Amino acid sequence: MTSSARPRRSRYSLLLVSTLLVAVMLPLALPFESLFQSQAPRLASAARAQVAGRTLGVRWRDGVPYLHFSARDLANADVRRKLDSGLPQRIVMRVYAFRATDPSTPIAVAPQSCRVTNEIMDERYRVQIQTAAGDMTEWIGTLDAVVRRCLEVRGIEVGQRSGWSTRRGERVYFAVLIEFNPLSPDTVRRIRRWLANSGGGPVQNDAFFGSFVSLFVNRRIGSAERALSFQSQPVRVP
Amino acid sequence: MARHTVVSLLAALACLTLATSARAQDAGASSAADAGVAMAAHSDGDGGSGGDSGSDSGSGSDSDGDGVSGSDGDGPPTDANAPPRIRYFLERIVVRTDGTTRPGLVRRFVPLALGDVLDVDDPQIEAIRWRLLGTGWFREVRLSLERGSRRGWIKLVVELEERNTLVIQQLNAGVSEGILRSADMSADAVWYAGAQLAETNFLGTGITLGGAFLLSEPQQAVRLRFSDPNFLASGYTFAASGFFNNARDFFGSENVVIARAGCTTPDPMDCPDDFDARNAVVLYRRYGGSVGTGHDIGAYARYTLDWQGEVVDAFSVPIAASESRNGSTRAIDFSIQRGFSFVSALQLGLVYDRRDDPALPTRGVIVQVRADFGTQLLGSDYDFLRLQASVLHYVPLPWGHVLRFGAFAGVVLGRAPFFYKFYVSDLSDLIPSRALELNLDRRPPPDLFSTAIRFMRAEDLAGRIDIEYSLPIYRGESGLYAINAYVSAGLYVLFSQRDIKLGVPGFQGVSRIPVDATFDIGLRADTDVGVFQLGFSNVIGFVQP
Repeated sequence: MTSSARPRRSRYSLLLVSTLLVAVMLPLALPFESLFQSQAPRLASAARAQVAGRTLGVRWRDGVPYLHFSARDLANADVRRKLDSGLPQRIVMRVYAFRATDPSTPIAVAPQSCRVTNEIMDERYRVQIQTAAGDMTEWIGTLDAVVRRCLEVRGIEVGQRSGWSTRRGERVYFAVLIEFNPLSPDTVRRIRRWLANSGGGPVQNDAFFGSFVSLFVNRRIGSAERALSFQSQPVRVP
Repeated sequence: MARHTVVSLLAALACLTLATSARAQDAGASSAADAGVAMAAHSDGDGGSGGDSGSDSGSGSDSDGDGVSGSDGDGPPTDANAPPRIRYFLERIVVRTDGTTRPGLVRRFVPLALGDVLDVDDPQIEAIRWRLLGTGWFREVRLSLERGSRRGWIKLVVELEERNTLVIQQLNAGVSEGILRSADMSADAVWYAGAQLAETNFLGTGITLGGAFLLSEPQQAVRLRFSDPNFLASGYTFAASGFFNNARDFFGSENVVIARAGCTTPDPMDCPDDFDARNAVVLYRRYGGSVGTGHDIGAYARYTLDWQGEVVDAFSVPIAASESRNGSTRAIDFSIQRGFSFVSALQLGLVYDRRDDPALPTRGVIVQVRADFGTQLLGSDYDFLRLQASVLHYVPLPWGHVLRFGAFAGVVLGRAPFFYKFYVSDLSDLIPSRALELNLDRRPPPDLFSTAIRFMRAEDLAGRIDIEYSLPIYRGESGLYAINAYVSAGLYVLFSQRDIKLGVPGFQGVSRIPVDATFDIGLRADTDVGVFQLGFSNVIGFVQP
């Protein structure tokens, strides 16, 4: 060690210790979580958010709720134009059931997906429907009929009888999230591979160049082109 | 270490680093120009239709929804158990844009030839949109199909909304501590300012033209750059650049003694006219340029190969100088030829990027390797090899925060000009980094551990390890997308090969290792105009005894 210690070292050391202390303490700063609701799973945040209310038809059959509702307002002019584009478009619908007292954890979920492709030669639509019950393909002649088929729900089954039987008498509500062309994690991975191939500057000096492009595009990844969400009135489990 | 997305803003004694890029300008509505690519003369005849006209809600599966192969059998075979496929022959590619981008340039991104079978379910079709968005030239890309002139043939329509492609890549402004010449005994606060801009789609050709400058009273630098990301449709980048630096650099740390010009004794300490200085200052100019290429290796890696040549005019170099290291006098090696010399070097770069997001990554890794090889075989007056590698690894934590581990190592072999060496300002966050290879600050390392690091400035061997903890403090939908707070700490070493052989006098034990700590705390914001970083370490670095 040198014999002459400079006075500013102690000040630097104090700053270093302070910084390291903050670094150690930050992971423990869990109360900060309240600031970061957007980091919570999308499902829970959807439930917590102020979602528009909408009257849903709920019919109980054999102890299981069947929902009836319309979400045709998702299909605005842009969506209709895309559905007519001749290339596949996807409408993904998820119906969640929550206890009225606990909006953070769904107690049942029912998914449905419509993949619509306009076959432009014959002006008809291939509609590939995926539900929990299975997959099917239909050919539909008009766009209005496609919208009705995919966005007017006539009795979607939410959950199973065994699950509901333990909740008799509880108050629940249903939340619906419908997305137009959402990106699946797999698609996001593929897009990022494509972006990786989209060029960029040389290593180091112009790294920011590639980053700028990716920055712009990455903001579009992970969100649907249009989304609609609403929730039902509270109902009591019979 | 490159800190790429950055603008340095310094108010008073503060050096804050920011990064920005140009705001996309609202594209005005303009009439679309139908810019169809030449139509192929195909004689396959009617592609035919596989199925009959659908009823309003005909349920069940059509036996063959194939728009192409149903009647003439030209299309690929169809699996009877697969969902009905929709395929056509591609008659034409139509590009509609509200700007100046040339249709031929857009067509390079469509992996189909006229007459090919287009399967609407092929992921490559979706890839076209993202590849075009990935150029950064367009605000929106819409794909659709239109009927062609014959049944079974279609036009692929690409509608483009162009965006402002003038990008502000980097802004620098701040104040550093510098001295103008060797004879100055007082250090001054020196203001500097600069910017890097690029037009990334010059006249709609996809070519990038960029420029950068940095100005301060004693130092100036300018860069011009040309880059074609797909040179002659080869898939290879072609880039060329030119630069000029009017610069100075600082040598020696403590008890610097400089021999006046005209002193001819072998030992500068014997010169009667020598004088004390805070630093020995070298004034020099660099005039140079580069050409190079680059190409992707698979989905995540990319290499670049460049040649850089430059004339160096070291027009003011002390004839001799020394510094005292704990009472031991050591001659200062300026690592530059006096007067004019030529540097010619090949530069090979490799980057492997698996990060999930280039702005605010939460997982993944990026590895960068670079080699610079200067040799007389290329006409260089300097024979050297510089190798450097860096790794950044991002790890998400269960509660939404992110840890980042970083490592950097570099070595210079042979006799490289000093500006090819590793600078303490690039390793420590407490001193302003070099910009356009101008060393803006004369200060030595902070030397938090009282080691031999305090004598190191620009050396042959460098390494750094660090860890950063970041946490989100804001998430938004538009304009300001995200703000993360971060705190980082690390260790770095910097020394010369001569120090390994001879050691640094006056140090014993571990203090002989020229190691120092660095730390930073600040904010990063992902915004509509790019990524901003406010680091407060430079402010801390200005704390004086």
